[in-house]
Amino acid sequence: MSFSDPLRLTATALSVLILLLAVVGPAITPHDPLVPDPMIRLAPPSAEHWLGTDHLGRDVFSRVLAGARLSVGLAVLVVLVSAAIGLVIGLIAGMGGRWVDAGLMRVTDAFFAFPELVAALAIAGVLGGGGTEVLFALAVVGWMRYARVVRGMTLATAAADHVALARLSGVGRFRIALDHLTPPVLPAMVVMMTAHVARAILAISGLGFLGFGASPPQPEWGVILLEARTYILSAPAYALLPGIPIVVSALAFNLAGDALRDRVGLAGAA
Amino acid sequence: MIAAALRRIAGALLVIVLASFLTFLLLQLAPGDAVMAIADARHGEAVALDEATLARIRQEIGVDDPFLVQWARWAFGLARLDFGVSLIDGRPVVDILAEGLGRTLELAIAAVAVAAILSIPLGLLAGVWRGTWFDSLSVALATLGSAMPNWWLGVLLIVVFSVNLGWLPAFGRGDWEHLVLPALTLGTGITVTTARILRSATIEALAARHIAAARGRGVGEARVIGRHALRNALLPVVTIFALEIAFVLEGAIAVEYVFGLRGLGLIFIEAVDARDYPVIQAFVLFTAVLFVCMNLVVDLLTLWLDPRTAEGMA
Repeated sequence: MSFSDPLRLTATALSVLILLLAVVGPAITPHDPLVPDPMIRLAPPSAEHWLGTDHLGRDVFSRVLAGARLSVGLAVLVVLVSAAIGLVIGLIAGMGGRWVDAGLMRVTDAFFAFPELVAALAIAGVLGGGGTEVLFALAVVGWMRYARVVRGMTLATAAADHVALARLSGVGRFRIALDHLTPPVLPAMVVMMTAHVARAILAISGLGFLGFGASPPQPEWGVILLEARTYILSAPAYALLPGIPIVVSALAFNLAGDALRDRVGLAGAA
Repeated sequence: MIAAALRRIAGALLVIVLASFLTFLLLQLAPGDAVMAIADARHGEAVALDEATLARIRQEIGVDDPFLVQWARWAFGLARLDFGVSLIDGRPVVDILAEGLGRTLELAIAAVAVAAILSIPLGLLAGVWRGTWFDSLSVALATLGSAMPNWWLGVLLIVVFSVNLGWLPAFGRGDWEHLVLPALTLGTGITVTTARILRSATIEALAARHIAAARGRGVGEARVIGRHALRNALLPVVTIFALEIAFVLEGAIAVEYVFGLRGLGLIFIEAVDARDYPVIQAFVLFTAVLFVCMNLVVDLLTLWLDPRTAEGMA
């Protein structure tokens, strides 16, 4: 990557800002994102309504701001849950000996066999759509990379002298995993998690757009675009502009992930 | 080398069996009683309460058998290419999917063509002119592209080319004009990955010793790139295009949805919407098997071209 540092610095700062928006977004909307006003349906962008109004006359900018809670917040949750599952599976595979390792890695391969969107769509759809369902679906398809990396690093660390010493002096497996095997994998995991936030934001909005995300009227970026889709010919700005925060946040987290990776010095992760 | 190849084939088969198990497990996630759901979908709420109908459906899908028996019955059916029948209208799943296959193939071929036309010059020249503005531009485009969901790109293209310029139709199908925007949308997504891989492959190929030797012999730069580097750099691209067939199928879901093309992807979305489990399971497993097989082909090809990889990847 031939990017100079200022760009990555900006991207990292932007990522932090986006995370912040997920927390305060719904509180700082200029208009109520849920209250319709039939008098101003599908208004084009103006000084009063920066991104115009939607088909019910709700302020689109306010809905995008409020939508950060679900789109970004849920993405962070997806990443945390996936990383936790991957860490546990990876540690067990790395410590469990040859057969446990081989078995768990085959299972990981089987989960990897499904294209992410296909599997997530099927799971979220069968469950019926909604925030929790999306979280579950994306965690099911998201943990494998962590498991593979953690397992690989654990195999290496577990063979090290200080770990062997701890084991011989009677330290339990759980303590060894926690004190000796987990800390070395954390930097790699943070790098992977940062890039994963970008993928999760894309996946969540994608599921929303396809009709299997959070349920309307709750604003979520993909769901906003799904509702806007019908009006693409009459109100193109409404159908298009709410997608910009998706691209910007995915870009920011991707670049922040690159910056972190170079900083930590990992070629293999993410 | 034969042993390594056989080991890989066995591994892929095992993964496919496990994947079919996971696909079958999907049904267990369904909330509520599957039998009720089917009766509902087929006959509407009123008939759902009719005991005789419920008993018949129960018998038909064999829900009272143990889970493993159900899975085995389903898996053996699959092995004979029997994917079952739709829960909604009772038509064979194969027929339903076959309806969309042609349209999706059309889209996929057009998209791969777009990707090849865009990515090969873009990636190759970025690698040759490494560090120049062209390289930076191609990296910037790739970075932007990987952050852009293809369904949003589809909306963007519709707004620009159909709404503002009025050049191309936005939805539906018909002559080739209806395929341009979907193919561009899907193809651009693949271009990003392909160009990036081709760029690093070119850089690597140009750094190889025989290139330095050719240059040392006084071979012209154009000939060095054309004759010696391109051949090595294109190898990873061939494998990437093979792997992308599965990605194209995945990407086609959103693209067909945006443009209203009723191919495999849109049929899948409809099935998920209607909870037509046999269709969902068949499509999910189909993509997984395709994915595993493409990976296997690439693995075996790599093994054949470079037997040193036999130890590396188990």
